[in-house]
Amino acid sequence: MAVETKDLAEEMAEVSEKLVKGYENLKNAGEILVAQTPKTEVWKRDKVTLYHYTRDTKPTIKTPVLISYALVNRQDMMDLQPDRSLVKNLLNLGLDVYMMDWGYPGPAEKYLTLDDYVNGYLNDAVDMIREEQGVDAISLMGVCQGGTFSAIYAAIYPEKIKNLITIVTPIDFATNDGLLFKWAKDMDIDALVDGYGTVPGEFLNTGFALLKPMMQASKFQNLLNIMDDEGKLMNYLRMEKWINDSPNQAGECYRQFMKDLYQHNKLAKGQLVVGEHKVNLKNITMPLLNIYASEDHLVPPASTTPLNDYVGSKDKELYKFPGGHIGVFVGSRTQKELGPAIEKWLAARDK
Amino acid sequence: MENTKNFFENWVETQKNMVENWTEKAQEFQKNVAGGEILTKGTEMYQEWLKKQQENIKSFAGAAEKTGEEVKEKVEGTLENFFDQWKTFQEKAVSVWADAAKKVSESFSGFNSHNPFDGMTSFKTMMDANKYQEMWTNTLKSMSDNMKKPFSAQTADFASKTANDTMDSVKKGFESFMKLYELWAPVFKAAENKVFNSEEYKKMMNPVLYKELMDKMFGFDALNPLKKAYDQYTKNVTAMYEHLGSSAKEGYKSFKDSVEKFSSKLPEGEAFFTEMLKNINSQFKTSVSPFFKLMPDGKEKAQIMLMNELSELYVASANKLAKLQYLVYTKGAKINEQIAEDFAEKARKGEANTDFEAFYTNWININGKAFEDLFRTNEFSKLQGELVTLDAQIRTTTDKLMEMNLAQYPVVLKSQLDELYKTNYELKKQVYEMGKQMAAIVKDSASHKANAHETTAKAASVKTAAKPVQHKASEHKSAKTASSKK
Repeated sequence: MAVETKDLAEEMAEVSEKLVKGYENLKNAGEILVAQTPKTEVWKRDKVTLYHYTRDTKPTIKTPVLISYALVNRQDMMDLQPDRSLVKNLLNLGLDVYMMDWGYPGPAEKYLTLDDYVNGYLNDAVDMIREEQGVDAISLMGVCQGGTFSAIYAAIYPEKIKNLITIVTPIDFATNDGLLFKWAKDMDIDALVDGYGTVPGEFLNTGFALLKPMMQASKFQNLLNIMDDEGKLMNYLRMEKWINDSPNQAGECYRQFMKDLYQHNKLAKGQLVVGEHKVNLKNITMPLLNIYASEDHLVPPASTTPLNDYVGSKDKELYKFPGGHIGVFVGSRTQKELGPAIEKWLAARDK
Repeated sequence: MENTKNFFENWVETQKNMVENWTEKAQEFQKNVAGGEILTKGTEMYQEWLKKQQENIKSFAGAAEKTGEEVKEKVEGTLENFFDQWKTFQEKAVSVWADAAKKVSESFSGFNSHNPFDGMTSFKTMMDANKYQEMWTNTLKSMSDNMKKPFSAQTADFASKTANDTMDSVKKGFESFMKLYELWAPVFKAAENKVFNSEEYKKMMNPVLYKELMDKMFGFDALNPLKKAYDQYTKNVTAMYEHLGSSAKEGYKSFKDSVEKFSSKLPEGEAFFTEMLKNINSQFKTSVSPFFKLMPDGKEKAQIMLMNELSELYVASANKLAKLQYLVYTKGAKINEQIAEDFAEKARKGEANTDFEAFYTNWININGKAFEDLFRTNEFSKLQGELVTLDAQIRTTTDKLMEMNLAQYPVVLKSQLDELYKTNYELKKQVYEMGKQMAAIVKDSASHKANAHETTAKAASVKTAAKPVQHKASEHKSAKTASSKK
């Protein structure tokens, strides 16, 4: 039997040594920077901003791409650090990239609706790009909830979207594969929105943390093993910065999204109404690239993959990415495989 | 796991008793408020209530007192430049622990001794599981305290906020790690001596330690709607006092002192819970009651009804939270039994994990899967949903209550701000729509002008284009003429 008291005590001493080194590294860590790829603000309304990423050369794919990230957390995940940046990768591959920044809703934004986000801000941004670039239609790339927005948008304004790319996007909410999908059905959303007004990002983060119940414990263990390595620690800190940077949710938009989609699955059923528009996914006739993560615990494949069955597109592709929800954006495989796959798919449709 | 079961049952029972007692007293109190007898009856009722609470707590195996001592220790442990001192301390501690560990190991050498008498003595001790646990807990205490103390409520003061948050996360993770270590170290020791079996584990497992571990793992404090509601309540009452001016200064001072005293104890377990209820009740009397006199008669009844509603929401929330925690604790206890059985089996074969970190990894994996299964159940999902709803209702009710208190003072109320936001939103939307319509008109007009211009230009172009033909024709004509002339 190799278990000895002395060994345990020595192990604790080693843990302590690691903590001491880690403490030094944390103390010396300067400002944690994310989203450093150069970009220019080209449009702004209220707290929503549209950025255009800077290119040194002419794009090789002439149709511009607008990335629409989720309202939950920030789009910085797409550009976490130079060697883990899907945005930078896409720029290097020749794309002309724009990014929606939904901002940080405060109490004054509590009345913003799904209609305001889709038919207002997103539509304005698309129009602005079309006008600036002198094109009739652009490519729209939606991520997570931003993908749901994009699918809704493409169904309402198919003439403005040349190609639709969805990444880890929830569409069919009938599934209970993901805990969020199950829990949401037991929530009194009206009470929640009435109580909070603007739903705090912290509230959402608490829920996300519970999806992986031992996350705190395993994070501590991982952190312990990398704290004395400055480079790895900085990677960890950038991710932490992103996780904790969780904007509040505009109450009315949250209310409709949770009730109509999570609870009543109206988008998949063809019953969703956004503003004056009834959303019919069959109206999506442009080429579709639907990227999902096989181990996604936030948005399970059962929710993402059905989109290809609901759209009217003849040119449609389902792309399986091995890994989890976050791994799609920052994993090394993303840089090697996903970026080039998107570029190749778009290039083939850029005529 | 009989002792663990009893522990949790006692715990739930205590919570239930406390909230029932609180409800009963709160209702009596409110009746007295309505009858104008608050000043005479208040003290008497409070004493009676407090007495009952104390009885409840005493029956709970002294856990609250223990936590209280820890709180005191942590509060008193405040130091400047805490983490720098901690770093120095840790560096020294490493060598001290190595020596201590050696001594600890020697003190238990009887288990391995070839001396049959020593072995027998130790074995008898071993059979008394409680004493064994106590011995180990005491031995580990000096070591683990050395590591835990520096991670008190202090926050590091690094340049980066993310680094600060990470240090806080390390602190929490480390506390869980050490709790697990404290829980399992006796098991490891027993396994080392091949006297361990899963039944022994069940006797050894310290349920108080175990509950603390679960609280830290799941951050029940963060989930606690009572804490959030209390924070909000505190803010609102503070704001109210601030707006009331000098007449309320005395009340405010008492309120503030009490809140500060209470806040220093917030992160704790049973102490937090009991203090929470006690303080809410106490603050309810000391802070809100004087303002009944200021309120017009018509509003008093409505206000008291709201307070009743709020009390009931707190109580319902406390009970739901207790149920949710009970689910987690009992599930965790079962998992630990399974882990112990596996461990015992491996230990018997001499195949148990050789280091604590490997054990920790395995423990995380098994617990992670089991808790995901628990969280997927309808029971958990519904309970969580009910808790979130109660939390939201507490907020809404508190807002209403505070607005009633503040309505007659020259302050902007939350509902008025909401109205303003709404009006602003609607006006902005109208302006936006008009802007879009205007842009469309301008665009149409420009397009129309452009078309008109294009038509004119086309016509001109046709004319211009026709000229060379004419010219050519005239040239042709001239040529023809010239030719004919020829």
